[in-house]
Amino acid sequence: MIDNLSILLSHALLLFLFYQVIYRDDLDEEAPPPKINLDADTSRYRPVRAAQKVKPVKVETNDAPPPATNRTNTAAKKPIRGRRDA
Amino acid sequence: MRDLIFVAFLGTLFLLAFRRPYLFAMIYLYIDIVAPQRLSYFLLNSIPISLIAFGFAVIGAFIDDKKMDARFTARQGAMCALFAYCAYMTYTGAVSPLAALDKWAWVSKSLIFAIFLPFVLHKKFRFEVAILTYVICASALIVTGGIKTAASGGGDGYGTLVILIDDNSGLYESSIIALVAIAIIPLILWLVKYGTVFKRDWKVNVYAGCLIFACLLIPVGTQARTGLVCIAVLAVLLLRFSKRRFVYLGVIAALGVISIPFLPASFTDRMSTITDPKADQSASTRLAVWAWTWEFVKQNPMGGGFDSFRINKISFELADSDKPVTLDEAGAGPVKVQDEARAFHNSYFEMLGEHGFLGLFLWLFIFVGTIARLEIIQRRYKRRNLEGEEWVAPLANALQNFLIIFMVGANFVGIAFQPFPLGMASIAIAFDTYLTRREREQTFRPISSMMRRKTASA
Repeated sequence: MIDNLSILLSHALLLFLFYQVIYRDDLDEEAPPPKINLDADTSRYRPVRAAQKVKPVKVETNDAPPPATNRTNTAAKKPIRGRRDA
Repeated sequence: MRDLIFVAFLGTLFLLAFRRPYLFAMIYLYIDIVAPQRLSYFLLNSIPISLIAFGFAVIGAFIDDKKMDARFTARQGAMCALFAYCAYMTYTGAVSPLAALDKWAWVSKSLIFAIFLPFVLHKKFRFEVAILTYVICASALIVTGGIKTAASGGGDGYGTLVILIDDNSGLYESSIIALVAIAIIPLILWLVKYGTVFKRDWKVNVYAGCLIFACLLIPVGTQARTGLVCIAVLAVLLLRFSKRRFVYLGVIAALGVISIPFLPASFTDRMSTITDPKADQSASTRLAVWAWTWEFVKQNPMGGGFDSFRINKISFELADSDKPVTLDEAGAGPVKVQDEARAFHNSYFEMLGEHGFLGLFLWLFIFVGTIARLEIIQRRYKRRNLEGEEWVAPLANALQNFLIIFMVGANFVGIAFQPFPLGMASIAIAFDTYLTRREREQTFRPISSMMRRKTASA
């Protein structure tokens, strides 16, 4: 009795599976894979090794550093004559 | 009556499969797992239905319009090498030639189908259909075993629970069905969450819940220690991706404690022998056979062909004299037991004893290689997190869990060539090939577009 019940249940499910495969074409359709834009950052699609990790790079430019002014450069402050703390 | 129903059912499946030829491969799976010819008394016994199904499956694969998507992988190459090596050993170097031929008859089918299966599976939907076929066919045995265990506590001892028929081969063997029942649980969970044929609703949830419960009852009913070990491995594997690990651990511990009073005494007695193998004859025999196999393979590095264990003669001592072989021996100190032609009860030693170091290497390459590839896929697709690919990492995880549970369970039962795990490895190979092809399509860029970019930048 239990054996027959189990056989009936599993075979009915298998038959239903075959029926679904045949009569539902939408199940067999597969959307094309989402395109990956190679021009964009693709690092998350590839395995990253330690050697490939992006390291911060010092950017060298020809521009001269901004000139130090009295307001910002405290070391360059000149003592003011006549003041006690000078 | 049952015979006529089976004939009608198989006839219907064959007729339906003409609309989708890859379904012939699924019919072969069904025949291989459920073995309807064993369940019937006449008609099907006299027809080679499995050969017919395989023949149609091969023809179907040839006429399939998408066959160009199929690729031949290194692991399929290893399967081919293993096939050739097994054939060579069976016909030239077997120490028990007749027994070797008997085993070769079903192993050859199992290996050929495992090599062939990836050629018909090259779509997500087909993976789902193949996994569903495996799960539904296994459920034919698991549901009946689960109900019998829930109703009566299962068998009185190991191997006494009769599942559909009183047989000791394939999935009908107690340890094998216990291992498979636990190993398919991750696949059932994946089907519930990502399945498209049976979309998730309350009916699917209830059926899947009951099926998982039946799966967990199979080791209790069969009293297979392998099953208990597999449950422990499954619990650890599910912990890996659990979001609330402490809650999960608490629930598992609570379920374990609650279930103990409901377990039959014969089951708890048998499970307690896991911790003391020297007191148990079955476990002591295994240790003695493994020692014999190691000595045998040191002298025969090529192995002794299928069923080479038939020539073994072993002797060992049972430490606990309270559990004697005969009643007269009770309390008489360690009992000396002599035995011969004992099976390996371990897939690794089975490979080693039958096909030597080369056979073991090829077999490990197939299964360990597949597990490693699935790990790579899982990690990569978790990071990608693209729309439409949510199912990939969980499927890789479910297949990997199946294979890991199989590899652990294989320590206690000789199932190196069983069609079920080989089929799962085949699905994993097909899945890997499919993803590689998809990735190539995703990043494909025609040469003309690259030329245009170059000209524009110049």
